[in-house]
Amino acid sequence: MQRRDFIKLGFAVGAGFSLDTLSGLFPVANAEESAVPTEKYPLVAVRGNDRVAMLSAALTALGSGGGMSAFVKPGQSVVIKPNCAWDKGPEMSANTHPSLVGHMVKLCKQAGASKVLVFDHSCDDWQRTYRNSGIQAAVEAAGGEMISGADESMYRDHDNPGARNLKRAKVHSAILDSDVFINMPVLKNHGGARMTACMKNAMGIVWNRGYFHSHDLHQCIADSILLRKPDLNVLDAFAPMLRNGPKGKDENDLIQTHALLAGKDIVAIDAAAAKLLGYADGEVRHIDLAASMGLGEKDLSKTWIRRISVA
Amino acid sequence: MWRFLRIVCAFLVGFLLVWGFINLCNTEPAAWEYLVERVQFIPALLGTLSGVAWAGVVLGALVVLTPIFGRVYCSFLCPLGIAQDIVIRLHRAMDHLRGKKSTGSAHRFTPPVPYVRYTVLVLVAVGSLFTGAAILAWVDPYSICARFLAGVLNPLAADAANMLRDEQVTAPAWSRYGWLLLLVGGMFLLPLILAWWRGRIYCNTLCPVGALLGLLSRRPLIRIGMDPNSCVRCAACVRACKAQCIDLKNYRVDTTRCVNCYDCISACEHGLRPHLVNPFAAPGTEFGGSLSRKNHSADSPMSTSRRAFLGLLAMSVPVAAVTSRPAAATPTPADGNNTAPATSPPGSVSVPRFLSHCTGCGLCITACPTRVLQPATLQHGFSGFLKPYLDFTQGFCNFDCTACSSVCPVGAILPLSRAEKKRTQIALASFHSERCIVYGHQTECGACTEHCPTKALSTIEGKVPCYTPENCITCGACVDICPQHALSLQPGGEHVQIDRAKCIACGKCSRVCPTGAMTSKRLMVPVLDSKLCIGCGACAYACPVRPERAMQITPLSRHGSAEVLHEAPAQNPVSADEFPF
Repeated sequence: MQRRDFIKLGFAVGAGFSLDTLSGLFPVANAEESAVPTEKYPLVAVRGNDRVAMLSAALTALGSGGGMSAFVKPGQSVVIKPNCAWDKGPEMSANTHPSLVGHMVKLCKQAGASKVLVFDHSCDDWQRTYRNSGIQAAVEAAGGEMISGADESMYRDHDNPGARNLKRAKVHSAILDSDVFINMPVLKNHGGARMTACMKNAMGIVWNRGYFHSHDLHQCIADSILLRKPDLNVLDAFAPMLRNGPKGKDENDLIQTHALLAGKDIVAIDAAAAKLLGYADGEVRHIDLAASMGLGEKDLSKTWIRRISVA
Repeated sequence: MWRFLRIVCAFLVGFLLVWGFINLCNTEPAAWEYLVERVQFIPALLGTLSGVAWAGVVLGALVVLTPIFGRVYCSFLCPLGIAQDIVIRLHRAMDHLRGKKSTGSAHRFTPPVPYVRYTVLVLVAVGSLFTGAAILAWVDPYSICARFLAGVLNPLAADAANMLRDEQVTAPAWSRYGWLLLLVGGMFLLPLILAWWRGRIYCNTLCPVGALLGLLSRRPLIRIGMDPNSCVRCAACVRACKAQCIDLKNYRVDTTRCVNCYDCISACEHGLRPHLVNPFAAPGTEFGGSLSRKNHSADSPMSTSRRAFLGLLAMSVPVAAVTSRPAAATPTPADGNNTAPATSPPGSVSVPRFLSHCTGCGLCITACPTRVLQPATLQHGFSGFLKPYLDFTQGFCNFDCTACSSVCPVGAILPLSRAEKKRTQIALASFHSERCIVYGHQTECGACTEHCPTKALSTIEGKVPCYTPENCITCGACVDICPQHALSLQPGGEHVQIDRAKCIACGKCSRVCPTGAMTSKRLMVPVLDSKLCIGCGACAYACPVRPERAMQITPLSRHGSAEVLHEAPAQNPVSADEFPF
């Protein structure tokens, strides 16, 4: 099969799979030619003006045309972990945009997921955060279930033998029990970790975050990936917070990047995300630590990157 | 019909009150949810004194209604009265089930002993002169009931919701009041036990609001009275009376004790009903002078205008007390010390003002989404017992939330707009770098700055010194160059000591070190700009250092106004068109 045909087929399947993603499928340009099959791409980078269309395009590319059905098999349970940590509205980019989370829930349901759970261990009051971020409404409208991450009873002790510092942690039951784990953060500056993207988002699956801060934050962030490696990472980098992160002060803190990154390689995505915020190589230490632990490829010149533009 | 109206109103009040105190979902409070807390007598009185407009309207309405109808507040609106009515009803239902006739000691006329309640009233009035609202917190019937709802019903509802949903919807807050629940529960149960025994005896002996309203209802315009011409002295009304205030012998109802429950009217088949009477006619002559003056005057302790005058005087004392206190208690501190022992909520203007207005009803405590508001034991001192303070080990004040100020029924926490709230400085954070993980462990942390909503606390890249004694030749170069005098040679001269409290992570020491014993790591270190700090406590709550945290909060006595940081729009560091990778 020719690569061109392959992509065409992918679009056809994707279109049939979800009609409302059509707008995101056709105006694809700048698709870089490459010798490897699409599903081998560890990283897909999308530019566009509509988050939902960008997500659809990324999943079509990642899922070999099958979209979410490449990640979610009928009957499987799915947990989506967005960044839903702060009592801020969607316009502040402090949390993953609700349209993305809602659309992901919908796609999982369409792929036959038995249930789709969404939670975060919020930093602000969880009920206000779920509500004011718009994520709860979007998830429930799409048929997903928003569950609490605010009580210790929901977390179970979990050994982490491969870790350097975080040898044991209390992990949210939904993460441990679900068949598919989708990591869906937003890209932001962070006063301590310098940047929060896919790896830092995994901190929200753990109960005792204070341990991270007091036992070398960067190493614990890298270690936390081993608690459960996400099956899919989607990074909302549409309007990232460039400073005053991760909570942000006002909309002046945001830059318009209009990007979305997705893929299986959590280190590659974060390495690319660091570049979007203007960080030099090595400036975000947890990326280097994770790469040294063999969790992914930080050198983007060695990574196949599929770049898509959705007009 | 009168009784039916009373029951409907009491039911609505009870329902809304319980609803307001349950607050499981941490929603922004809607006005209707906190309506009944605002039509309470003491809250309205205190609210009026705080200059809250609606409180003045409510107080005016209650003061006008009482001389017209009598003590309608006590049966229609007072939550403690409604709770007693429920107990009395249960008692009657039980008597009925056991086949007992309701003719026990609870259902007869008792002669008035007004001296008890007026003594209480005067004591409360004088007490509030010295303590502001401190004493009102103990005697206000609304607050007594409200605290019980906050301390017991609220966590009970959380438990019930969790059980029904089979998941942890919200953590029940039993620990909020803790052992204080014994006291809170006891204060609530005392009137109820008394009610089981002798009806509304609490309201007519111990409750200062009852005593005060009794003064206003000496001769209500619309008065319950029996017509001697139709009355057969069957005593059905006497048996129904909760206040034991119907004197059938003299065809008299003691309106100062009558709580206007209208049970007697429903019980009577012989014409007992509220009558519009001539306010200037002598008591007992409502029905054409058919009662003798002699009978009346023998039993009316309320007939002298001197007593009424004294009572009204007593009522004006707490008014004067509360109004005069805040001004007296919040002088500008001469020594510039504006700290307080504990933090009061934003909108309370100053801690002394807050303590002199708050009755500790606990409504704000249940409305607080982060549970930073906790009932104080002695954190505020004696006058702040059971009143809320901000406990930054439990949580922090949510930046975008104005729940406490919008629910406060007494104006102790004045309403704040969201913009005002975001500038209101209730406390000040201080940074103790000697305890900070970034300096101590030489690893990045950022727990404090990530929580700071105003960016009073931010991180900048600093060069944190890391010292390896094995490489040190104790030449003293680093000690000499340190601009903060943070470095010193140990007395024995073997190695260098770093005073982390003084270090500003400038990195000069590592540059001059010839042996590499003093190196520095580029780390994000916290910097604090107090002008921007509102004292929300988020940094202290998030700081992982124990036992003493690196971020400390100092409560402010008089609240201030923080500056707001304005920054130019952020510029994209890389091309917005091409991916930088």
